[in-house]
Formats: sequence, C-alpha cells, structure tokens
Amino acid sequence: MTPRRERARDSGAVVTVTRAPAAVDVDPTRYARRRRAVGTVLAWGTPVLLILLWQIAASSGWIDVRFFPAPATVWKAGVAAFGNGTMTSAAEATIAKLLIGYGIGVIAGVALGLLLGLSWIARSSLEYTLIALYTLPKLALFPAFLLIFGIGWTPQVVLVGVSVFFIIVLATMTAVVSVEAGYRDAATVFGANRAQLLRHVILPAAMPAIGTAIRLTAGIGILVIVGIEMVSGSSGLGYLIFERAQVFDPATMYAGVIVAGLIGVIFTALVTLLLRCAIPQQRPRLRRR
Amino acid sequence: MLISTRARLIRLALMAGLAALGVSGIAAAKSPTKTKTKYYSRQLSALPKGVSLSGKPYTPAVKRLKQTQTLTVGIPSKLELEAPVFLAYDEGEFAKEHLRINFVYDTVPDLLTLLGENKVDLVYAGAQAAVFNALKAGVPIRWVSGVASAAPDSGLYMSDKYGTSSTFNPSVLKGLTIGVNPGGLAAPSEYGLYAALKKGHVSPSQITMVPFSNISAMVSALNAGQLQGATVGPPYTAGITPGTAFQAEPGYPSTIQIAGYFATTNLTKNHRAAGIAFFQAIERTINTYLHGNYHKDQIVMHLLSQELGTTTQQLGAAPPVPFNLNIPPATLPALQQMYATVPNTLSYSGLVKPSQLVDLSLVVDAAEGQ
Repeated sequence: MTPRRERARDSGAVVTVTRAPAAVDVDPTRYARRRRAVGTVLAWGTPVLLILLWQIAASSGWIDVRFFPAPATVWKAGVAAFGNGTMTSAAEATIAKLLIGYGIGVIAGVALGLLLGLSWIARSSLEYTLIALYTLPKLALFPAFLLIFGIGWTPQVVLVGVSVFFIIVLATMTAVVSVEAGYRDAATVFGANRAQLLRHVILPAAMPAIGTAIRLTAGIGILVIVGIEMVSGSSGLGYLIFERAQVFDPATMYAGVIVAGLIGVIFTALVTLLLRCAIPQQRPRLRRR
Repeated sequence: MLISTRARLIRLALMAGLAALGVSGIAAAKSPTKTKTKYYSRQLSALPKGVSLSGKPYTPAVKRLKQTQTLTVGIPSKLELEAPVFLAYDEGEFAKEHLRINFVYDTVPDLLTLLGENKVDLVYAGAQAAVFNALKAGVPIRWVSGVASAAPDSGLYMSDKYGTSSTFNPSVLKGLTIGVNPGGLAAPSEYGLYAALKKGHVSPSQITMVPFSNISAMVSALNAGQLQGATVGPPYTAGITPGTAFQAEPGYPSTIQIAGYFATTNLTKNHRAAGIAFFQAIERTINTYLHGNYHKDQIVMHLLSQELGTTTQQLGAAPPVPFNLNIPPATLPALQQMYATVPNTLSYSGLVKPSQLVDLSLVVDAAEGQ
C-alpha cells in the first residue's frame, strides 16, 4: 500500500478507485469473438510455422533429407499411403483399439474409484494394492497379457485399459474423499439419503477432478496404443511406423507419426468437448488475461 | 648460320619444354584415375580365390596402428552372434591394435540412421530391406563382413500338430498364424519361413505373420499353442518345450549370409586402417577362441556369459555358432527376391548388385595382414 493510501486510510477518508472500462466490459460478445479468432490463428499458425521452418531446413540442406524428409515429401508419402489403404486401415485399427481400451478403462476406473471413495472398507482393502499396481511398468506386463488374452487386438486393448484405469481410479477415489465434509453434512441435515448425497453432492463436487483425469488419460491412451503396436502385433499406426522404419521409408514413417499425433489431438479435443458438456466447471470462462 | 643454329636451339628448347609440360600434364591427369581405379578395385564384392578368412589361433598377427584411433560400434542386441566383438574387447585384442572401441546400443533402424550420419562407424545388423533401400536413397552404406553360417538349430519351428521335421508339408502353412521377428519378411532372419512358403507355393499374404520384439514371449506363445509356428534362433530355441514344436525349415542355406557388419565409405575409404585393425582383432578372436566346438572351453563360456548377460548353461544349450565373415555371391539376389514378395518393401525396381553393396576388402586385408 502506498504511503498516500495509508495516510488516507488512517485519516478515515474514503478512497475511490476508478478504471477505464476494458474491451471485455464495453462489448463482451465482440471481445469473445475477437479472442476466439486470435486463438484460432495462433493454434493453427504455430504448427504451420513449424512446418514452414522444417521445409526451409530441408530445402536449405540444414537437415539430411535422406533421414529426415521435407514436409512436402512426407505429405506425398502420406497421400500415397492413404491412397493404397495402408494408412487408412492402420488408423482405423488404432482408433478402434484406443476407443475400446480407453472406454473400458474410464468406466471401470470411475466405478471402482467411486466405490473406494465412498467405502472405507473397500479403500482400506485395495488402496495400497492399486497404488502398487499403478507403479508397475505396464509394458513389462505385456508378455503376460499375451499369454492370458492370446494374440491379436485383445492384449493391446487390455493394456490401454489398464494404463488408463489406474490413473482414473486413484483420481476418482481422491476426488470423492476430498469432497468437503460440510457439503455432506449440509445435505444430510436436509435429509438426503445416500443415493441423493451421491447424485447431488459428491458427484458434482468430485466431477472436475475426475474430468481432469479423464482428459489427461486420453493422451496417455494414444501413447500406449501406438507404443505397444510398435513392439507387438501387425496392425495399427504404431506397427506402420515401426515397419516403415524397418524398410527405410522415413517419409511414410513420419506421415504415420503425424497421423498418430493428429488422432491424439482430435481424440483429446473430443474428450474435452464431452467433458465441457457434462461438467459445468470444465467450461472456459471469459477472463481479462 | 649462327642465327639459324641459335633459332633451332631455341626451338628445340621450347619443344622440350612443351614436351615436359605435356608429360607432366598427362601424369597429373592420370594420377587421380590411378587412385580411383585402385580404390574401386579395393571394393571386393566377393572373396578372391585362394583367400581364407579363417586361420590358425593368434592369427592374423597384431599390426598396431601408428596412433590410437577410436571406432564407435552399433549393437542392436547382446546375442552369441556378437560374441567376437565382445570377446575381442574383453581379451584386449582391440587395444593391441591401438584401437579404442565405444559401443552404442539401439535398434537397427536407429543405428542405420546414425551410421548414415557418420555418428557410428560400424553397425552389427541383419541385411534387411532397409539396408538396400538406404543404399538406393544415396547412403554410401557397405556390407563389410558377414557373421556366421546358419546355426543348425535355427529356422522355422512348427507346432507338433503339423507333423515332424521329416514329414512336414509346407503347403499347410496357408491360413496359419506364424510368429516372426520384427520386420517380418523385410528382415533376413525370416529366410527360413520364406523358403518354406516358396516350397509350399504359399503367398506371404495367405499367412498371418505376428511380429514379436520380445522373442521369449514368441517362444512362450508357440509353447502355449497360440502360434502355429515361429521363426526361432539360438539361444531362444532352448526355450521351446520338447514335444511341442519341431524344426520345419532351417534358418538359411550355406550359400547365403544374412547379417554382419555395415559401414559407410567413410570407414572403408577415409579410416581404412582403423577398419582393417578392427577386423584383424575380430578374426584373431574367432581363430583363437571361437572356432570348432568352443562351447567346451569353460573360460571362453564364462567370459561370454558375463558379456552377454546369460549363463554358461543357457549358452551351452544351443550348438556353437559357426562364425564365418564371408558374404557369398548368391546372398544379395536371394535376399532381394525374398523382400520383393512383400509389397512396399523394396523402394526400387531391379536388383542391387554385390559390387554396389558388398565390400569385403577390410576383412580380406585384415586376414592377409595388409
């Protein structure tokens, strides 16, 4: 506090602070539209700039195009791979495995997390076992999954599900346990039964944290599925990337990497959109900065 | 008269000068051609007649480099096939040659990229399709040595449901699920499977190939009956449960080679002495420690088990590796025919000739003590 203000406060004078209206105060709709437009330009402009730099580096000979082809070459290889169906079938396989594994992991994780959050007996029995299993490197378990679930998609789907499940279950449990006791007490005082308490108090209070875990694991899901496809199986983008590297076809390989990245972006965006619809707290708010 | 004599003398002197200039010019013009011819004649795509890459123990004799040089060697895995380089390192054979060796462990595609960028000098790898495609893409890669003849227990193993080694009919492969090494038919380790498919008139598209990076997991799947067949080599053959699978097709014929060391012309041309010193140490190690049934030599087995991170029992379960640095002439056509059976594997049409890829000059010079 400045000495002048301190003096004013000590003298008991009323200090009026005024500020000029910001753009958001003058016309919030226009401000929001403008901010969206700038955001869109920045979101698309950054990757475009990076690709441009990559192209310049390739054209100028700063990078060895035999190993790191120019974006134009990667584009051509990608178009050819979509044309002959290899990229399409690989992307379809990856998306299908991702959706099934991720879906199972999220549903099972939220269900068990709620149970653990609500029941201290369940929590006492399973919490530390789950933490121990969560810290295990899942890829190291893959040979066991192969033996249990056989060859094909199933072990890969299970691996994605398991990787997502542990994060969701622990996040959900923590979110439920962290709901303030005051909220529960207030609802109980008003005569809420257990189901009403869960529906109207615990779930709404825990959903933002659960939603954040669901959103974060969307990216983990794509990382796991592409990673495991690279070391096992004969389908999906990971397999395509690995197989193209094996035959020294870097252009198609990088096209596969980019497609995997795009799937990750689209999938995460879809999950975010769904969460925004379902959880009011996840919706963006207009801020001045 | 005097003037004419002087003029004649001047003319003679001028002619002599011009002739001298001409001769020196021709000599200068010829000299790079000589070097070039010499260099290309040094690229040996086949073993010259009468030259043997194997010899008596402790040969070829140590021929120290004038100054200590360093080579970076890329290794994708620690298998018995790589025993010569580890044993040579352990026994100080490289040090005797004034050669310092740094090992880099990574996957074959990564190592080939590092090789092309001259970040590693030598890479131990299979002669997979990537090598041929890289050469065609302008990477000056050279296959500078082989590694071994096929181990007698390597090859395609089939579930006992499909007969025995003597009764197996390859046409039954149609529709079956076979475990393969990473890369499938784009990797030379699958030559046995390719040969069986060819014999059975089965197209690669008619079988389901499941690649495994973890070969132990592939052997477990074969033992559990989840795979009907798999391509397995030592030491993993020891993991096949007796009575569950049989060797249906050997790994590859003695007329071809499938793996070895790869370098670029940077080594074969610019750092040739270091390359020769490397193979002198390798050949001396094979001749001294790794010939015949070296599995009976307890000291060698102990050293190998330490270097390869295994036990002498596990190493001894498989037959000894028949080390052989030669690359027979039939190799390149045979491998390229195999790769051509899978669409989008080779990025070029026609065949890469041995004279374009194979360069045995380092191993030959090493064997001859050049």
